[in-house]
Amino acid sequence: MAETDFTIQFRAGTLELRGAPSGLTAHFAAAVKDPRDRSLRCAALHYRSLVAMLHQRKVTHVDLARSYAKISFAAPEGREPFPHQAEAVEAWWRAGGRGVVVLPTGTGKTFMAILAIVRAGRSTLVVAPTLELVTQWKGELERNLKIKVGSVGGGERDWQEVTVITYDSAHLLIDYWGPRFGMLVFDEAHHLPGATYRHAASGSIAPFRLALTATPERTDGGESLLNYLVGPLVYRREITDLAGEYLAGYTTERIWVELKPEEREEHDKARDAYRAFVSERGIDTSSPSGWRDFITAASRDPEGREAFRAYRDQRRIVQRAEGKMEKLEQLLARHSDERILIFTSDNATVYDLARRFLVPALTHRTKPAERRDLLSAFHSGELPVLATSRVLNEGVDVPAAAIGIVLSGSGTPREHVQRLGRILRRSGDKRARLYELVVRDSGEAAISKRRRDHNAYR
Amino acid sequence: MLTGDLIRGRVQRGKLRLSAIDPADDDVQSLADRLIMLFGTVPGTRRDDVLTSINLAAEGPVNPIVGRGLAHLLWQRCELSPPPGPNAAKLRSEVFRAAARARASGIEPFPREKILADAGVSLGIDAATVERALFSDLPGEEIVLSFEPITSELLIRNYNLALVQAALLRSTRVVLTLGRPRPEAVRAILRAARFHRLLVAPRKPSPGRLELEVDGPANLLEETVKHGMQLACFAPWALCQPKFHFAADLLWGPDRSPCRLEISHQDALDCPQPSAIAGPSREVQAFAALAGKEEPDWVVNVDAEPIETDDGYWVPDLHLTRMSDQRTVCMDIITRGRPQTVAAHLKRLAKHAQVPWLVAANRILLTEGVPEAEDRILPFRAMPLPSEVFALATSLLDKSSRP
Repeated sequence: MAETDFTIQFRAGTLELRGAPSGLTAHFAAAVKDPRDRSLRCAALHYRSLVAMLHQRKVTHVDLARSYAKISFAAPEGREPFPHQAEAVEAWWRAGGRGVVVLPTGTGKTFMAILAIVRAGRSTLVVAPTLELVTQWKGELERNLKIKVGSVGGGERDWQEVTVITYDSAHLLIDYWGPRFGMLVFDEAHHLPGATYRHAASGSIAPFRLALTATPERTDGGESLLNYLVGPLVYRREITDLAGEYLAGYTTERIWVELKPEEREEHDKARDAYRAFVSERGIDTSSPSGWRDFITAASRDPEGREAFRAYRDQRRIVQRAEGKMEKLEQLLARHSDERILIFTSDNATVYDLARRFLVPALTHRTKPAERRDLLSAFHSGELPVLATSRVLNEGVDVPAAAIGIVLSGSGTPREHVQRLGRILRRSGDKRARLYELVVRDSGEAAISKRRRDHNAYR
Repeated sequence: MLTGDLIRGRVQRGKLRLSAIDPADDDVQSLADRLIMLFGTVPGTRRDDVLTSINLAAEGPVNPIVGRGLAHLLWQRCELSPPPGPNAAKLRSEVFRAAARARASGIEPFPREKILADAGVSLGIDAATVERALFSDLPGEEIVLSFEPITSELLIRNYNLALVQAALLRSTRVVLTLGRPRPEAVRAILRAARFHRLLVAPRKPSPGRLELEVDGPANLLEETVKHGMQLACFAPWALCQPKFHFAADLLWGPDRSPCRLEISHQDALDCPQPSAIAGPSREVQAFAALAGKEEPDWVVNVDAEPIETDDGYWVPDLHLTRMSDQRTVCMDIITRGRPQTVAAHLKRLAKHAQVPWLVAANRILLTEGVPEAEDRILPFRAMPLPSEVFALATSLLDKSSRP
């Protein structure tokens, strides 16, 4: 090794450049002087471009940062990739092994990522949003790569050359893993641009990066950050491109529900109070800042707080309307021989449903052992119904699920598409059905219209 | 301490104005009284029921975030426990599986009551109790066992302190200036800083004034949470002084925008008196215990007293006294901080300390060279070794006794 004082060291999600030749920053604007310790410093994310620049300019340096390995993975056996999977891997590789792949749920994003991992041949960290997904990824990776795969999150700390980790742990443990992996896979990557989670990408030196999602668009426009954190959009296919052949065929049905007279009276009273306040204060609830404006105004005085309570009351009445419960009972009876997922917008409703219909509840409060038991019993058909709020919105592999019942939810198409995605994975000759229960003449009608603003519902 | 969502304050022209509450405000006083009264009645109640009652009790003219903040502080005075009863997870598994079988067999109408009653038979409980016990392991079902009472006056003071403490967790630098402090106040505040592991530079910028500068957690690369908590615990010592100015540079909000928080005795921010200092840090106590056993010729004293220096004060962690000649070396053990601050501390001691001294510091904090103090520094990885410390202390004393 040539003698030089110029060292690159990983520290707390950053690269510390000590003894750098003068004028380096002219060629590498990402490095800035850190007043805390007077070193030159940049986000670890810039490792690839930094090393490329140093090689190009023939700058001698000692790389103390890189701690990941080159690995020759055996290609998965006995399974041919679907055309869209092979195309996605090629597009990603052509983009330099960096970029975002958008594929609908159930079309084999995991297998596509495994092919990309084999192609990159580096120690790999897969980042997933929930513990269910971590377990799922670990199983798939071990089956296909025939190696021991580590998992970190929910109290587990098993680091291996290929490891799966939750977004929360990835962000918290960046000091440890930041220099140890050369390839990153972000599952459900629409979470990545969040203010905290983005550090999981910016604090790693990994030169190879793959982001997977079915729905990259965020209401805050944060998807534009993916380009910086992971790379450009390299491949995209929609549900309508792949339904029937690679996804189950499906129908969606909106069922209108009436409020009971006493519910209607209470609802309308609360809605009028809320609307009067909004109109009196000149708040445009349809504008992008509408909700924030309402919250700000509502927190200022007792009248506002009364309006906020009225807003919550009318929402609660609609979300837990007796008509919805009756309709749900009918649907459970109608599809008693199929696997059913019930989606709500809040945990309180999930637990109400669980008590009323004696169906299992799956929320973020459900402990890992019980989650595993519930999902396994759901797969086997022993427990054919699961009620959940958001835990199953994305990622979790429940191929047996054929019926989705949306009792309540947000107005974002992303959530609705993700929920539809849960029941679209091919399994035998199943035909999927998504029911959406909507209270007539309530705020839900507009929410339903907004959430269906996606080509999957046209 | 308050969580981020409970902090009330706004930044104007680069200055953060925290919305402290006025103990003389009748509405605030009444809210605090109502909440305390409510918490006094909660032992034996479910957490979720308490939350509902809090919402009702907090209604009124005071901003709801204040109510939530006061309730947050009152929750910290509660002891909670899961409710007694059958194992909820096991009960769920049994009930939901029985329900699934009933649904699959097509029994009409769905025998809900019978399923619940059957599940209760072996446990000796009825259907209604089974239904309640299904999710008795959720946090909302926890039962409040006890509540440690507090006066409304102290609760309001604690709230104001908690506001400042929460802000300090986002600070990069804090400068505390005391005007004409009494000697016992100087001693108390310097010892408090030292015992909270804060590396302060106590200076006397002008006669009668004492200035303490401390790094904030946002200025550190490691152990930021620990440092922030210690700084927060130190805050009451600063805020209880009769004449003080307290300036904290902060990185505020989601964008971490720089701003400054300034508080002085003129703000009449009503904060509680600090609690008694716990004593030397664990690291110092552990070293003293180990060193006392290993080297009978040396006595280690952890009762830190401020020592006057040319430019201010120094509160060493330890006094090492050699019994054979009764001579003493003062010592600091530095486990965390900013390398630059550690270097500044070493330079200052080299220039101004008038007693024999040495510093043992974690080696990762010694990246800045300090040639003038090189022979007095002992780097360590986990903890300084007594044998090395005493060897260095011996050499320093021997050197200083040479003509």
